[in-house]
Amino acid sequence: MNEHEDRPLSELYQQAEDVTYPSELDDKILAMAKLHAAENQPKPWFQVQRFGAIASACVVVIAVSVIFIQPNTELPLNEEPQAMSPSPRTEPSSFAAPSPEIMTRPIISTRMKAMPARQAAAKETLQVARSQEIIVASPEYYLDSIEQLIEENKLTAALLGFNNFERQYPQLAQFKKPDYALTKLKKKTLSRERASEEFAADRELTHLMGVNASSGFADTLVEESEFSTSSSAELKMTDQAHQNVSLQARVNAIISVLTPLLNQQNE
Amino acid sequence: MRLFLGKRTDDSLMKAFAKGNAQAFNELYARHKDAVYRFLLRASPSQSIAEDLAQETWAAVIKRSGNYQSQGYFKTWLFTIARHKLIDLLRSQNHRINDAFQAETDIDTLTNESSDSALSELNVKRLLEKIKQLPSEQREAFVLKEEGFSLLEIASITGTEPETAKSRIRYARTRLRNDLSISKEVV
Repeated sequence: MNEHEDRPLSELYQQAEDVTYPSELDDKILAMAKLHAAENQPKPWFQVQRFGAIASACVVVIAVSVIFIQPNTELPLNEEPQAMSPSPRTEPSSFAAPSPEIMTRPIISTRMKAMPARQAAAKETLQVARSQEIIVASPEYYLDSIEQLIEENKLTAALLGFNNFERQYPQLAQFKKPDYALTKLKKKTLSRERASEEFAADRELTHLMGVNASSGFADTLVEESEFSTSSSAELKMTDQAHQNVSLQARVNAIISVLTPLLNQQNE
Repeated sequence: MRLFLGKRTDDSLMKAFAKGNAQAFNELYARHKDAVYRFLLRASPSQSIAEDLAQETWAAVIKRSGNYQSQGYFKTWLFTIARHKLIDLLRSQNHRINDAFQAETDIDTLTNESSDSALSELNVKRLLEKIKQLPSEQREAFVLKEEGFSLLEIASITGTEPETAKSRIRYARTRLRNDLSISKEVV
């Protein structure tokens, strides 16, 4: 191409370059671009597609953990159990096996090291609740552990466990006849039957005597009649008596095994 | 806040726009809107068609921004889109390209102007009309050359070999010179 020949043509073309760009096109195109850019902007983390699934999974995990913890926290955690005196828990004891706290503590500490903080806190709450529950249900627990030690022929440890049990449940840790509670219950039932018979007789007598219904004597009779007719309370007492009988039988068996050691201890 | 204070390349602006930066597109658009519009105005039958084509071209750029392969040839890519839009429109309207570009005024009758400026303006108008009368291949090659593209870029935009593009430009110039009777005296 001959540049010298083409120069006038190019210069002429340059003169024609002044083109006024239509402004309405600017508005349309830039609006389109803005819309497109807004659609393509990266979403914030909480709008990520999987966030919903992650959030729901977290909710499920929390719900499950709450469900598992709740049954063990039925007892108020800060409340000291009635059956426990503070001294045996605080005293350092050489007897390791039967004590629920001593048994559970190492497990908690080793697990907690491996667990994240949140899980550890939840686990700790669970363990505290469990330990409290164990302490409250301790008569059976103590007897179980003592029996196990006897089976393993660890009589010294069993003796220590029994001593500990005796400190906490002095009334239970005595040799009594197993049918003691039943006999007591029968006596009570018989006395109530007699009382109700007497009350029926008394009521007739009272009626014959014309005693005023608002008098103190009449009130006493009414109370007695209510007491005698409370069958649900009686059932509860019967259950308790049966439980006491079985506990007493176990205690008696343990005492019979540990008698030589107990005698040595007393000497 | 813009961390990159230097002039950003077309490719980086396009990438930024693809990621949702509308400001990047504004800059890109400001750079190239006049050249694209001028090309379409020179190559299309009328101004209204050129405006429609310009809008369609930029809409296509916006739509395809996500698929844009950054190879440093944004302007070539842009003009290729514009050219395809032009060809599609002319085909859809069943235009025969050569017939479509008829002179709106009989410029050959306007040769009796006396002043130099008027003469120059007249020559510009005649040039633009004669460009529209060129065969489409020669017209687009000539306009692209005048817009500053190299032979390789013109070949890439028009989908031909550089030699073909070169010969089209040569034919277009020869024809324009002859039609306009351009000489040193005229210009």
